[in-house]
Amino acid sequence: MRAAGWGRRTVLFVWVLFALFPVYWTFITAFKQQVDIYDGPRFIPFVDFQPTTQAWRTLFGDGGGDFFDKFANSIIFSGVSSLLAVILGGFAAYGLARHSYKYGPYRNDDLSFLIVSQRIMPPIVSVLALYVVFVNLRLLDSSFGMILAYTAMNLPLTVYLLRTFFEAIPVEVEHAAALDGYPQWQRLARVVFPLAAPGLAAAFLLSFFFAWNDFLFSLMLTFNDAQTLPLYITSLNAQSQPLWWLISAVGLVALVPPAIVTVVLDRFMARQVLIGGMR
Amino acid sequence: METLTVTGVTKTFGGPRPAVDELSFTLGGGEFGVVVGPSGAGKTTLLNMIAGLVPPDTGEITLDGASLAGTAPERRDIAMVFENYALYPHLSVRRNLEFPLRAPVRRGTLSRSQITDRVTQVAETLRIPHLLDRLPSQLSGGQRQRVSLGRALVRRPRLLLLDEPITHLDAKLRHEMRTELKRIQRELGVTTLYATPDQSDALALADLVVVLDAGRAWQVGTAADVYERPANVTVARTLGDPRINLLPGRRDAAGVTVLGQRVDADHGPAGPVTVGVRPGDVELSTEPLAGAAAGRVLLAQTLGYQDVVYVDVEGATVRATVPAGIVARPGDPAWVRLPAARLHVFEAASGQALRHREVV
Repeated sequence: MRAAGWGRRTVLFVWVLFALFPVYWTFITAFKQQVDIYDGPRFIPFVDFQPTTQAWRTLFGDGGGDFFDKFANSIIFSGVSSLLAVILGGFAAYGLARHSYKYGPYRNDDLSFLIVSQRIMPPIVSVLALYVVFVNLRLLDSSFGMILAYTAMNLPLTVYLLRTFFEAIPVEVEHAAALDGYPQWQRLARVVFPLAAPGLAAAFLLSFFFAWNDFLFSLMLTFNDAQTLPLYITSLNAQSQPLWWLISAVGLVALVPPAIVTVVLDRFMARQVLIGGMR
Repeated sequence: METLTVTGVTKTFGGPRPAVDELSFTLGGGEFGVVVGPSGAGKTTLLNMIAGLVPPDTGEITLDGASLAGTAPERRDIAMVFENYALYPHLSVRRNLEFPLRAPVRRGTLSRSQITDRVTQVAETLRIPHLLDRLPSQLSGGQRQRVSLGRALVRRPRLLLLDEPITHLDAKLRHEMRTELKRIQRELGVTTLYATPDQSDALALADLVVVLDAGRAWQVGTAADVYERPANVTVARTLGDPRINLLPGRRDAAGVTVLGQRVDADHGPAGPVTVGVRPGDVELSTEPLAGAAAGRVLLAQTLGYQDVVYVDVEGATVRATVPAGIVARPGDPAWVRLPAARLHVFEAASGQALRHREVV
């Protein structure tokens, strides 16, 4: 191993320590008792403090009903809305990449900007209006409403991201598929979507993260049945003193689905390297 | 053996002039047609219309006597090789070649083993069996070109369209592929239409040449027709390398005056004409010559087997080809004679041919 290699490794090692420390801290906190948390920092289990599974027993035991509901909500809302955003956004982006639209003075780039502009505005600006709409449509605190809200929130992102992916596919490849005997839908299924797979995976991943981490919509548009994990975590903070051990345990569990989604989709995103040289 | 007819086809994309303008020609079954013209001439638009990718504004295209109007591209059974090859990057060469055979429109017509046989066969014809398991990104330009051709041929299409298929190959490979294309087309007997900006492709390959420029067909005929008897200045300019000399002249009852010399050719009503003469027909001398115009050498290029000498005569540049080794240095005096029998004469205003070079 060369000296430069060691230098690089040292830097990376320090960085990993830095990046992983909060995760470590959350992890050990989830196994602490109240006294270990409030009585000064305790770093090392079995040495500084005696770990306990009290938080986990509360979570997965009798006190866990609420937790499972919110966890399921988060997974369903994030998963379904991201899927919808990728499908609907994919078709919109394909249209923008391949067809020329003309609505009065507006062309493809204007439409594209119009769609993206929905995301430029801070969500806090629109959430009050959205609240009023939800009240009138009786969508407050409903699963359907939340999926709708997250899909709408993520559509601008997926349209914007996927348009560039579709535009990068040479139109001749689609023409070749047409002449080879594949009708429009088959061309999409057999050629266009496989080639755009890295983009579709990336769009799903980002949508999932945004929906998973959302706090504002959940805060404003739900109060009980359709509440998501971030809101549940906050509720643990709302009593006389924060229940840090519980908060940490939920936080750890909340890390798992995005991690799984990332690992699964990462393989599709890596395909880009393989494909290369499309032109 | 399917006959292709194109009748009065016009396509406008909203530009000042149509991309393709009132185009008509007939390509006989099994023939090799070449559409030659500069970039922007409308070659790709024409092929796309025949393929069904772009609908014509007016006019009719028929294949084997039946109109193609209203038939979707996937149902026309026309194959096309694209300028950028357009291989499916996510599929191996084998999968690329199988792709047309597994298409929904051909479902059930070929068994699994028949597909394998066809792919093996076409891979052998194109000499690419060793590449079958590679991805397109792992191939060179020439190899991609072969795969692209194989994908077009594997299903034995009714018509093969080639859009500048060898333009991006290097010169040596281009010659090799050209010969190869001709061989394969003859073997399969598939009606073929080939678009190219390279006039030498047209002369080397074509049973039928369509000279296309600015969307119009300026002449349709055999390679000999368009080269020996260009119908107008545009055709004369398109074919031949080095390019034909086009010189301003005057015609009257006594003959043609060009480069200040009177040439005994094409007597007719008086008026301005454009005189065309191929560089190979120009007589060049470093000594004074009877009936020759005097000028100065501007530049001499060697092509190996011959030299191209550019001579300035009274402000006009004349290109002449001479056997290699005749020393001509820039600035040297030179005499240029245009043999009467070798002249093409075009009407100056319209560019229409009045007289052709006599063929020896």
